[in-house]
Amino acid sequence: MIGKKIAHRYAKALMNIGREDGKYERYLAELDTFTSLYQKEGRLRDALRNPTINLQKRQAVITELGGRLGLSDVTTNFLRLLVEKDRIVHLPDIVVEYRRLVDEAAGRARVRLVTAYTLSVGKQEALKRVFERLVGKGVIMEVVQDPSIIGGVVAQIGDRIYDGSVRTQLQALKSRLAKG
Amino acid sequence: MWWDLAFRIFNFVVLLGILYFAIRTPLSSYLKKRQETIRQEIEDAQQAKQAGQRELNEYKTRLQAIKEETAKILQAAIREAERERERIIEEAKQMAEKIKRQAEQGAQQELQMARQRLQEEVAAITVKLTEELLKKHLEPGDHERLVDEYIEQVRVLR
Repeated sequence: MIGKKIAHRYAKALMNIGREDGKYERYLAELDTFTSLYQKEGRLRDALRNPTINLQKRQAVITELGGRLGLSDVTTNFLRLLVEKDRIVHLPDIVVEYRRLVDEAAGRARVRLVTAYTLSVGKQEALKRVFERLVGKGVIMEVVQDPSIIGGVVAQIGDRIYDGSVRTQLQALKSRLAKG
Repeated sequence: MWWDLAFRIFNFVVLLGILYFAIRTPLSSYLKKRQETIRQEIEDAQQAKQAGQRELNEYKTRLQAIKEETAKILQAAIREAERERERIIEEAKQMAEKIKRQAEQGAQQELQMARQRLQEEVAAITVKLTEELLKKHLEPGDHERLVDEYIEQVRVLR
């Protein structure tokens, strides 16, 4: 709860800058790049979170990485600020919240799709259209493959979940059978 | 000789005559008294006998009453014991009925639970097998169809 509040505050601050200079999409892409590295590299994560390491050194690491990843000054400074304020642990939450704000500003929704097998481009398009019609605005599709759902599709838009997976249908069948 | 005898007889007659006059009155009074006393004693004895008889009758009556009372008490006690016996039997019957009912209910519940468990197990196995079969046999065409169905379901949502 507190984490969410913090994430919202920082995401909103970055969004304000992005709105002003019109580069919020770019900052999102840059944050995604950095965050995927941050989440993959345990040593980087530990180093940035470690308060016994001198702050300047930790910030220098950010600057160095920012340069190598080709991040803008705004994004690099934002990340440096997170380290300075000991909020870097909230980075994943901040990115999620920032993405929500960017989507909102761009007037689009994000649909996270889970399928059991690779969707054809045609099906992806059909799904995109049907969700655009459902939410009444443009959608960005994030397709994830997960064979454990056996078949069908599970879509998540914000807090809502549209579950059409075979796994869920089987679970429903199981409870119906168990009740008799 | 005969004088002597005659004299003696005469003497005896005179003695008798004297004696007669001398004791006639006291003897008569004595006898009268004696007679009176005997009569009185007889009367007393009779009265005593009557009193005894009355007392006897009274005792007999009381004894009879006691006998009747005892019989009544005994009867009442027997009736009471009879009632108590019936009550105990009735209670025992009810208790037995209750225990039987409880046992039946317990068994019924046990059965119901076992049935439920079995049903759940059957459901789990059925679904598990279905899942295995689906995983093995779902082909790209089936997946496409499932996605199409999903698209249709979302299309009708609002």
